[in-house]
Amino acid sequence: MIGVPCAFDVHAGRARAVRLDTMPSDRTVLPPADSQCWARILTGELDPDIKTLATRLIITRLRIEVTNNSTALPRSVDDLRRFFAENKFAHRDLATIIGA
Amino acid sequence: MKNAFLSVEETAALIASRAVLFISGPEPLLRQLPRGNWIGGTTAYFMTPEGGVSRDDRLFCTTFDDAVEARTAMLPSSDFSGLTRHRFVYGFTCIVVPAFSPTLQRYAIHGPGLSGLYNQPVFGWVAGVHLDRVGQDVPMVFDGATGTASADGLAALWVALPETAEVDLDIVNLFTAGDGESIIFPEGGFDVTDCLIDGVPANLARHIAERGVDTTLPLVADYAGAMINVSFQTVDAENGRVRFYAPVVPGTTYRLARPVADYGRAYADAAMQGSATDMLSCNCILNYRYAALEGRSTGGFVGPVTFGEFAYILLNQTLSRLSVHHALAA
Repeated sequence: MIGVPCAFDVHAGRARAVRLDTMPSDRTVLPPADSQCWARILTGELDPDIKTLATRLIITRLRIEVTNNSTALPRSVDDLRRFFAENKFAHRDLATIIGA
Repeated sequence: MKNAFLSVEETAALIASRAVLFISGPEPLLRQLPRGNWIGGTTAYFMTPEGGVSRDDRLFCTTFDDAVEARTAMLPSSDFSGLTRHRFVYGFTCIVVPAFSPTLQRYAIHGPGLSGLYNQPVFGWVAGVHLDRVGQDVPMVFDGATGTASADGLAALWVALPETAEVDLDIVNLFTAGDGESIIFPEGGFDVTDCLIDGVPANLARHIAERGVDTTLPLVADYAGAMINVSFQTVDAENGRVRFYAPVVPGTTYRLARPVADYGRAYADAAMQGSATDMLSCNCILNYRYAALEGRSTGGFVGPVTFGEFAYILLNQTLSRLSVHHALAA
């Protein structure tokens, strides 16, 4: 019998405290929102060698938003800064952007 | 993470042992499985260590033996927000969606904009059917925790990992953009008519027919260094319409891919960059078909052959791979 997929339901398995992010701590400093590096990366003026798939995809998504609507730039800068603030795994890419 | 190509009985025993599993195979076999910590989807094709194969008596099972916690759900197409909302603080997500379904279309278009999508790996694939049965059999996905099967839902498995684990999600795309014309679409979506070819307005379907373009090759766009394909499904020159297996994105520059000389060699080269045997991967049915992968190995990459792949977003003609490493392992 085919189930009805509309009802959202989550089924918890075994529960234990967990931790995944084992990226080493680093001292990469997040540039402020008014740093020119953000606008340069999101307009494509800056195109450094990004290594992480997640970073590549979010930068491209935000570039498309900015290309289609230039007023979206401040919001896109916030989104990209938040991505780097929340994800240490992407700090290698952040360092590349800062150093570009 | 362990991969195995198992009978129904062997798979049922794994489920009974409380293993956390991502399973692919024929619908009649998936329907025989007991409830447990698993999700699954239909496929008739697999990449095994011995090469590509079509089997109706085996299930491809990936056991996430690193998992310390797991949960599953069948998400409706009306709301994908649970995909990120219900993940663990540290871990990854597996998803499987039926081919040709409204859920797939909605995720392909709206999924890339989910808040926080790129903060944690999202790996998965599009469930399919035997190529001889397209239009007769229906691709299905399963939530093993409830025994729910769906032709139009997104089955999700959230996995939590221990402190020592790191997840690596990436793609292997043998295609790169060729040297031909640039193609830009003013409107996005799976179905297109008009575009700009080298800046000149044109109808893509008629352009393809007039030039005899090889549509076994995808269009490729450069996503900040990641080559992302959209593959041709149908070209209707008479009505001026092209349908793709993934949506094109307006304003993005696409080019027809450069042909791949030797798929098997190219996968072997890609696998040399790391051990493919301890990864879960999925490869596209179009690669399986166009590159004649039946009986041929793909550099050690194993997993289901699928009607589309996910590495956060929907991909075409691409191998998506997931691996878990332990930083403190000897």
